[in-house]
Amino acid sequence: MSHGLRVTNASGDVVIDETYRNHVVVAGGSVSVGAYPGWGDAYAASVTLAAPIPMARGPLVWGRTGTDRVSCGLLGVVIDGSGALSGFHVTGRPDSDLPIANPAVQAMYPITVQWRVTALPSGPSAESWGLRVFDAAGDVAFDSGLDYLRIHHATAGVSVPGTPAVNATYAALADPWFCLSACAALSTGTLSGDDTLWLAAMARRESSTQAALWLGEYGYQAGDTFYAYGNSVGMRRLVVAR
Amino acid sequence: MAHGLAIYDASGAPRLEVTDRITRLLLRRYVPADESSSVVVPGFDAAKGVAFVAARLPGTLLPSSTRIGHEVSVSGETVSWSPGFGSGRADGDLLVFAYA
Repeated sequence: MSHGLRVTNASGDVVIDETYRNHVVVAGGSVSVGAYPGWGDAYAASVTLAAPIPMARGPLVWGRTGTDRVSCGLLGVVIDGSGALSGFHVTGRPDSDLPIANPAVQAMYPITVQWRVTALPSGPSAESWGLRVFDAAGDVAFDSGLDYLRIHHATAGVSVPGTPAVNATYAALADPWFCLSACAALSTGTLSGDDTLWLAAMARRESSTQAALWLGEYGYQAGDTFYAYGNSVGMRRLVVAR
Repeated sequence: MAHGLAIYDASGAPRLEVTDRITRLLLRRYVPADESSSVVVPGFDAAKGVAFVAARLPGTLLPSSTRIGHEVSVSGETVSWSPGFGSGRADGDLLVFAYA
């Protein structure tokens, strides 16, 4: 390195330099997941971003419920005509092993899902002092006034099970964020002719050191009392952040 | 902190210290729904980073079949991706992060 700035951490790994940019929190809020009008018997909620985020900035949707064994998942994203993320749909599932068709489970809604979106920054922060590093193109590589994404743990590919099972163990983290974009998957299951289940990959905190990525019900039709339906969605990754 | 770098905000709260592990984006690439390919990401270490495809699942909440993005595998500095399971393929964005 002939010039510039490079900061390495105590392990000798590069934390900041003028080459690579860092993801920052660009939007956040919370949404109430309940019965979703117009979408059959699905429990979901929609978020519309105040400012669309160009997909070129690599936006990611993160979620958490703040409660052990209460899950959240991403059902879909909305990309506008200019190629920007303008919104998304999330789901959540209460702490219950009963099927979603059971009135006892439906009575547990609504549940609150906190969300945030991380992406490459669009420009420098409004801070008037601190540290700011630019890359060769003049884009912000690091700005101490921005809220940076801090990945805490990431699993290898996980074969997403049909019932919750711990598949991520990490150093204690009180209220982790889960990258819903990294594990998003949808599936339809049919147990009998008039029974339909809609399933989504969901993440949930099990304890301060463990999390589960599983395929859970978020919608149903016909209303028979069936149980969680295992259905393969291949391998997904659970990414955990502070 | 005996040595290194620490950055504080106007209130004196720490914003960054060298013990932190903020996440650096090494690569972002759009991947079409049915694409299988790979890319070498210099410096990528799977023990200190993660690669995945963020599927652009469309906003139809009640799919009639499985809808999933690409599966990703890593060998050394080579990140590979292939179409996901099921018939409802989705395009997406490959992101490779280092976070150690």
